[in-house]
Amino acid sequence: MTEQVPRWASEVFWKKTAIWVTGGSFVLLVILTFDSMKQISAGGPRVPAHSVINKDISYRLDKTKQRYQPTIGGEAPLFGKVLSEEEAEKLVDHGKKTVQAKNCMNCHTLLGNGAYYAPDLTKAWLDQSWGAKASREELMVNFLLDPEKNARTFGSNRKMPNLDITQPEAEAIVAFLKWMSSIDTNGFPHNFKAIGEEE
Amino acid sequence: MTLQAYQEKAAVCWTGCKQRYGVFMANPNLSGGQKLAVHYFTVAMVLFMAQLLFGLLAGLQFIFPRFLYEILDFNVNRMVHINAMVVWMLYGFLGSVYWFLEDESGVPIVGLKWGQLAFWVLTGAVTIVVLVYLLIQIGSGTDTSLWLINEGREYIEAPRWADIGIVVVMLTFFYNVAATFAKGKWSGIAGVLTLDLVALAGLYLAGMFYVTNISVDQYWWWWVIHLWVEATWEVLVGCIMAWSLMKLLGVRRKVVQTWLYIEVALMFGSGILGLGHHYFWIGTPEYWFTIGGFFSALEPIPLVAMVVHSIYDAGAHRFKNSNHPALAWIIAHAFGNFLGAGVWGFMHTLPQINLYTHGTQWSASHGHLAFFGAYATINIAFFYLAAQQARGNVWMGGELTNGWRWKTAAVLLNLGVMGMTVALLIAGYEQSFIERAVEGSTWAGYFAAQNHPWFMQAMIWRMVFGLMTAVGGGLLFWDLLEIGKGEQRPAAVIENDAVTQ
Amino acid sequence: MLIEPVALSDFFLSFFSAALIILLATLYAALFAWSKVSGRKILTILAWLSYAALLVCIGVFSYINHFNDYWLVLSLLMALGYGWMPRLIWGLCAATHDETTHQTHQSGGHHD
Repeated sequence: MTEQVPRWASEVFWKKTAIWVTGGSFVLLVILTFDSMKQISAGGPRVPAHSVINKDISYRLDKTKQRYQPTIGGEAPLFGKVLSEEEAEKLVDHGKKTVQAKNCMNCHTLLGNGAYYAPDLTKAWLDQSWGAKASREELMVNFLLDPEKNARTFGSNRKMPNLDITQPEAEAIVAFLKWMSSIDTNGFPHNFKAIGEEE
Repeated sequence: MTLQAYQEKAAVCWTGCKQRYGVFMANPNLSGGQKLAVHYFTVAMVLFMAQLLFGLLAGLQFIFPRFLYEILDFNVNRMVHINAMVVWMLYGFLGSVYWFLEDESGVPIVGLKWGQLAFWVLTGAVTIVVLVYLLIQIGSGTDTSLWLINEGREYIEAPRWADIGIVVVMLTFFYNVAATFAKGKWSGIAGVLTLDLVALAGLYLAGMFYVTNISVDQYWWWWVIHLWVEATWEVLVGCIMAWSLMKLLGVRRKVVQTWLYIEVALMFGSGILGLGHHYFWIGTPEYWFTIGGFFSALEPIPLVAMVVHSIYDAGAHRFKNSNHPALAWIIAHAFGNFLGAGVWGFMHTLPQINLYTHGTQWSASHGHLAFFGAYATINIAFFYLAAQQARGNVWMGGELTNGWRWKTAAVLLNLGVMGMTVALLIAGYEQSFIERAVEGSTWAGYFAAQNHPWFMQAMIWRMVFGLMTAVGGGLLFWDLLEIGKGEQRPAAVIENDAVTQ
Repeated sequence: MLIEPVALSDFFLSFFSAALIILLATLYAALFAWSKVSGRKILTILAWLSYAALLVCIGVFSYINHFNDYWLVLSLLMALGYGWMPRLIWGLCAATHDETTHQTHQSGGHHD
C-alpha cells in the first residue's frame, strides 16, 4: 500500500474506533441495565410489590418534584379480599398473561407503548370515568366481560370487541391494571386527575 | 363450473407454475445464492402488499369503527400490518446478503442447500403464523396461548414456537454467511456483517421470555425493537449499501470500508445508548432522561455526515450509474431517512416534550416515514439491482421501455407515505395538545382528542394518501415483474475508480 | 426536578425549533460542502448565515425546553457539534478519497 492517508482518516484507525465505541457503549448499557433491573424489580423503589393491590392507590402532584407521582394509601383490598404477596403475584401474573393473549397492546397503549386506537391503560384503574371508587371494580369487570353491551365509546362509535374474557380473567386484568397504576413512571401522564382527587 | 373443472384448472395452473419455476432455476445469469435471494425478494414483495392491505383496513377502522368489527378487529389488522412490515424488511435484508455473498467472498455459498431449506421452513412458518393471527386471533390467558397463538407484545407478537424457529433459521443464515466468508476472502464488509448478525440474532433472544413485571417486560422489549431498528439494522443496511456503492457507482473498496467503519462508530455510538429515549416513562430510573436526551440529540449526526459526503461524491462522480430506478430509490432513501428518522425523530424525542407526545399519533407519523425512508427504500433499490441482473444485466438507464411505470410507482409511493406522515403529524399535534396537555390524559380526554375535527380530517387524509401508497405499491410489484424483459441493450458500463489501471 | 416540561403555549415553537435545528444543521453542512466543491464565496457566506440561524434556533429550543444546569451542556454540544461535524466529515472525505494516489485494483477481486 502506497497511499498517504493521514492516520486519523485511515481504515485501521476507524476500525479500532468502531470497535471501541461499540464495545464501550455496550458495556455501559449492560452496567446501566443491572442498575435499572435492581430499581424496577417488583417490591423495589419504583415498582411496588404485587400486594400493593390490597391498598388504596392514587396519583398526585408532588410539590417538591413538580410532577405527578403514585401515592399508596390505606387498606383497600381488591374485590374485598386481602391477598398475600404470593396470591397477589399469581393474580397479577394471570392478568398480565391475559392482556398479552388477548392482544390488548395492538389497540391500547400500556405505559404509553402500543397502538393508538384505544386509550392508554397506564392509569386505567384511576380514570375518573369509572365514576366512584365504590362501584369501580364491578364496572371494570362487567365491561371486560361484555364490552359491547357495556360500551364506553365517549361519542366515538369505537367499541371494544368481545374477547371472550372469563370472570377470573377479568378480575385478574383488573388486578394487573391496579398494580400497573402504582408504578412510578416519572410523571407520565402529566396533569392526570385521578378518581377521588376531584377538586 | 363443476368441481372437476376447477380441479383441472388448478392442475393446469400448477403445471404452469412448476414450469416457470424450472425456467427460473435454470437462469444462467444468476448464481445459486442469487437465486435464493430472488426467492426472498419475491416473498418480501408479497408481504409488502399484505402490509399495505392491512394498513388500509386498520386505517379505515379509524373512519368507520363498525367496519369488520368482531371479524377482523383493529388489533388483528394492525398486528398483521406491522408484522408484515418487519418480516418483509428482514426478507429483503437476508436476500440482499445472499445476493452479494458469493461476489464478496469469491466462492460459492457453503451449505446453500441448508439455506434453501431454511427459506422454505421460514416461509412456511410465516404463513402459519399469519393464518393463526387471522383465523384464531386470540387465546385465553395461559402460557399455551403465548406459545401457540400470539405473544401480544407489539412487533414481536409471533408465538414462542415461531420465535424458536426464527432463531434456528437465523443460525442457518449465519452459518451460510460465516462459513462462506471463512472459506473465501474475508473483507472488512464481511467482518462487520458477521458481527452484526451475531448481535441481531442475540438481541432477538431478549424478546423471548415472559415476565409479570410490565416495566421489566418493556425494558427488554425495547432492547429488541430499538437495538434492531436503530442499531443493528442500520449497520446491516450499511453493509448492503457498501457493497452496492462499489457495484453501482464503482467506489473503491478501501474508501467504502473506511466509511463503513466510520458509520458503525457513529451509528452504534449514538444508537446503543440512544435506547435511553424509550426509558423515560416505563418505570425506569430518572437518569435515563439525561442519557436518552443526550444520545438522541446525537442520532442525527450520521445523517448530516451523509449529506456532506454525498455532495463530495456528486462533485467527483456526478452520479453516473447503470441502474436508474435503483439510484432513484437510493436518493429517496437519503431524503426519507433524513426527514423520517432525523427531523421527525428529533422533534419529539426530548423528555421535556415527549411527556406530551409519547404514545400519540406522533409516534405513528415518525414511524411511517422513518421505516419507509430508512429501510423500505433501500430494499426496493436492491430489488431493482436484482431484477437487472436476473434479466441478463440489461440496460436500466434512460429511455426504458415502459419507463413510466417505475417512475409513477416511485412518485406515488413517496408522495403517499409523505402525505400519510403529515396527516398523522397533524393528528398527533392535536392529540398532544388536547388529550395530553389540556385534558391531562384521561379517557375522556383521549376521546375528546379522537373526536376533534382536526383528528377526524387527518384520518381521512391519511386514508387518501394510504390509497395512493397502495396503488404505488401494486405498480411497483408489476414493474419488478416486467422491467427489463425483452430489453436487448446491455447495461451501461460505469467508468469507476475501482478498475483504474 | 430533572426536567421542566414545555409549556402548553410553547408546543409549536418547540416542535418547530427542533425541526429547524436539524434542517439548518443540514443546510449549513450542505452549503459548506458545496462551497468547498465550487469554491464560490457566496456559498461560504450563506453557510455562515445558516449557521447563525442554527445558533438562534438552538437558543430558542433551549429556552422553550427549560434547559438549565447540565442540560445546557446539550445546547453547547449541539452548537459546537453541528458546526464542527461537517468540517470533520469533509476532511475525512478528502483524506480517504485522495484522488491522486489511485491503486491498481481489480473490481471485486482484490481485498485490502
